[in-house]
Amino acid sequence: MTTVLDRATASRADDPGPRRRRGRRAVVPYALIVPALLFYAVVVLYPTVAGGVYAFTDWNGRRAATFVGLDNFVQLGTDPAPRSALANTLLIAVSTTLLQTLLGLALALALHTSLVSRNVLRTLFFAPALLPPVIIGFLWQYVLTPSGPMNDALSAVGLGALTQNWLGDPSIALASVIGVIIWQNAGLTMVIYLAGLQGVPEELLEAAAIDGAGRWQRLRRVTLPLLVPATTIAMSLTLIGSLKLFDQVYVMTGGGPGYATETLSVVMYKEAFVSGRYGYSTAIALVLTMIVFAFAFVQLRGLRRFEVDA
Amino acid sequence: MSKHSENPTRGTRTARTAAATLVLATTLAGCGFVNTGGGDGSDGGTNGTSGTVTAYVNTEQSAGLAPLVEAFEQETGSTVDVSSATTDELNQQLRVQLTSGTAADLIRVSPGSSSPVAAGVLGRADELADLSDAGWVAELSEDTRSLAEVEGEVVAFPVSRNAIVMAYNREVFERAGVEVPTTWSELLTACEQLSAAGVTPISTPFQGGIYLQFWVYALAATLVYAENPEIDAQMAAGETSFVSDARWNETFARIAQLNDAGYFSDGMLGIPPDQGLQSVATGESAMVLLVSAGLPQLYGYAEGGEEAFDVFALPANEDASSTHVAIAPDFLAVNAEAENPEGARAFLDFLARPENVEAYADEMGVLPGLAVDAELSSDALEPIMPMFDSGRTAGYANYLWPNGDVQQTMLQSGQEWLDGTIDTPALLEQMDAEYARGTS
Amino acid sequence: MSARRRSAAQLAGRFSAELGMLLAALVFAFPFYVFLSVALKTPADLAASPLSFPTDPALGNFAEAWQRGDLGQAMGNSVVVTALAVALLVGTGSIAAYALARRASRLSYGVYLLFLLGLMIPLQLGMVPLYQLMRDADLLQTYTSLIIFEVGHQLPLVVFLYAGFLRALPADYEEAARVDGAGTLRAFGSIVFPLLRPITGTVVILTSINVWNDFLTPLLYVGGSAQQTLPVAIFAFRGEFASQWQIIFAGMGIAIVPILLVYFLLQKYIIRGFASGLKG
Repeated sequence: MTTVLDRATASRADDPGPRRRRGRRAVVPYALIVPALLFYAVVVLYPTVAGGVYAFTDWNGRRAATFVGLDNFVQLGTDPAPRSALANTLLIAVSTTLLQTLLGLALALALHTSLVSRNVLRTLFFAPALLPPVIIGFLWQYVLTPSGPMNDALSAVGLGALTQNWLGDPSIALASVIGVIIWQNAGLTMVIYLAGLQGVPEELLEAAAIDGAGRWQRLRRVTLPLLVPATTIAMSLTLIGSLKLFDQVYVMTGGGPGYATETLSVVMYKEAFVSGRYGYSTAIALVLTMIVFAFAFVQLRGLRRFEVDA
Repeated sequence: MSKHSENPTRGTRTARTAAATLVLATTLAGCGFVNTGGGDGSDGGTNGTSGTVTAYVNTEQSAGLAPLVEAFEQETGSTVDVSSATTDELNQQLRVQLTSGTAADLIRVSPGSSSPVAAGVLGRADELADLSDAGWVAELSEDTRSLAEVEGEVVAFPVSRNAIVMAYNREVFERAGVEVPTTWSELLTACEQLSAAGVTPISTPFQGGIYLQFWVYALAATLVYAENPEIDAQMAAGETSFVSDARWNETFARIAQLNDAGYFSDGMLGIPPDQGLQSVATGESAMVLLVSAGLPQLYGYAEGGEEAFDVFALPANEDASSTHVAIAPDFLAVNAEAENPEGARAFLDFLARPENVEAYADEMGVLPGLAVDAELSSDALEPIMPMFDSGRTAGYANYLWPNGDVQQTMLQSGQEWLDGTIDTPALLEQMDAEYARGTS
Repeated sequence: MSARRRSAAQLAGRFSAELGMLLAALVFAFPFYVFLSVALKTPADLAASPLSFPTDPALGNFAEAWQRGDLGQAMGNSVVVTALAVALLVGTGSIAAYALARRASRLSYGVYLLFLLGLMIPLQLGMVPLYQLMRDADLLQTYTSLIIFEVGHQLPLVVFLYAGFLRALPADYEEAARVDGAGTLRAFGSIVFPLLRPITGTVVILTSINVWNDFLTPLLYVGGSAQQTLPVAIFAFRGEFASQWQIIFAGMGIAIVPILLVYFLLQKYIIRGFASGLKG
């Protein structure tokens, strides 16, 4: 530790900026970042760069990689799996982000009240977010089989007409997957909103009520604008998580039936570890990375503007 | 976290606590933090040269090998350290392990070129040891040998052979007055009768696609390979393809015919294999096409056990005497970079002894891997033995396809095909496209 | 009169709201009911009526899952990996975020953004190179490889949470401490870290959940070895007991008990931590 500190003190001399601005203030040494940065560099930065390079090769894990330019990306456009995976990934991301945010908000508003059951319910709604995605996948795979508990329960309460081949019918399998994801994570969004609601001053709401604002108006004019930071966090987490969705899909459907629930993460995993095409797989990973960046950028932009308006 | 918060020397305390935790955890966990090398090499052995053999096999092999491993360990005083995983999982892990040089001494490899970890693929890349001088090589049957061999070297040992068979519920057949079909039209009639009796004629648990491929291989054995044994060479030479070969088209047309007639399970793309087997055991469905290694599982679902079922070979045309059975060897191979190659070979030699070949086949309800004189106590496969004895067998069609992706596409796009999203030529063209990408 | 009517209407409204939420909760909890009831059924019971309540709770399922799946070993592994990874995350993450939050320079902002990038990069991009790195270091099938991975992988989230909290925290105390002659680390350890308690609670719970539940990388690094963690063991379990759902579900039940325990113990920190993160 002392050597780290010494080095930090030494480096302070050639870093005049902030010190001058802050006058007499002692400067927190950058050296404190080093341990974290080391872990981060080894686990994330180096492998990402090293992996990214493979995207332009035909590396298969055995023979030496040959540079193939953009071939992998051209191939991406014609293969059925990555093509539907791209569409599915976008669809999953957009729909889970919207629906989960709405549901989480609704739950939070309902439970930020004096309901007797609120503590039990908060715990219940949050519980799925605690469980390993692998277990969530197995559980729902069982629940959703054609002769499984879901259909049994629907029939038992007289909703037999609604029974479905939830994961086996290509036209609704993706919707089922989205439903499971929302079920699992709505509680997390709820918790973020509950935290946000703690920052909404009671007096402000009372003042609005005295001014004659109805419940809906108070929600729209007072509560929601104050919840924008919570929305930013909740939506960003959901969006990024859903773009990278892997475990649940891999366990529940493996991307099937057909290519109905294929996601980019699943395709990329299968190309690398089932087919042994690492180069191609990293090309898909690179495309996904670009999409995540684009979405995150657009979303932050959009929400920030909203924040200013509010 | 909180109990030190008032303490002014928190930094050092934290460090001390962390160190203590680390020491404690290390003690608790033994040597899980570093690889000490004790368990993975030949240095841990107790008896001369044999030492420890590591093995990575699939779940079925692991079950069948367990008693033999014990016998081997007792006889030689060495240790066989077996890890297992489902075949899918194993294929994925093994690929990474071989790439990274961390694979076990004995590994389960797929036949031919059917996956990235198939005997042919790994053999060509010199990742498997040459076993040609082993004593059991003489007992390899011709079709097994062609799948175990790469460039004239035998690189894989057949632990057993599996056959694709149609298993049916005897009672359901009897109640509907159905005879065991021996031709395609008899099969259609049987389905018709069963359907009329209110049973699902054929259970098709096609979730994930594993059970779909059995249909292709079983029908292709009779329709494609029996008619034209040269098909793989011709396809490799580009003389024909899935979409342009009439026999391949017919194979898929047969499956479509049963599907269109409504003889398959409702919602088949959502039915997992265990439920598909269960429905035959309960009598909701009459029959299911499966690999013989799956029979014990099927028997387990019925109170009557094995007695409740019987098997027949899936007919594919009107000539009962031309029906072939699709069979597949289940391989073990020695990693070229094995830590203990002698031990691994010694274990294979042990498995090759006739009594052990027999024990494994009996335990698992499969056919013996080697052509030794084995007397099987189970008669589960009796109905197909005549075909087996007269050489009316063919390997699974995918074994000589150039890569595993042809099969992968067949399964995934095949689900779209069953669902009516794409037609047969589109499916076959997609398979041709993967075929054209060659050996990975 | 009208006041009383209003309160009666309010009461009815509240009652129906309460009832509505309970109904929603019932629907929501349905999979959990399935989970529990399957785990407690005998095979015959399960085959007869998958939905009904178990007539004669088969607690033996849990014992069988525990034994046959070797879940004790796996649980020990998970505890070791999670505890050490979380301790390292709190240690390295809080102190790094401290430096990043207290230095208002372009460089520190750049490093902060570099960390945030990690929230977005898909793991798969670097999966194979990292695996090979671990192999070359001879760390595969050890706790060490997993702990290093989890720390590096979770750090972006930890830095993000700590930095947000620290920005909202006035620097007066620690500066007073340093004027008194305490070194940076002393000041951090004795003044700043205790003030971070609420967000540390959040970090501990979120990272514990993430590390405990992680599946893909543990599968690659320690799958099939004596060091495999619980989700990996459960996954293998599913393959092995193909259709003995009661055993599979019992095993899964065992696997989630510790995480539920941590949650109940640290529950209050979750909302509080997020709340402070939102302010920051």
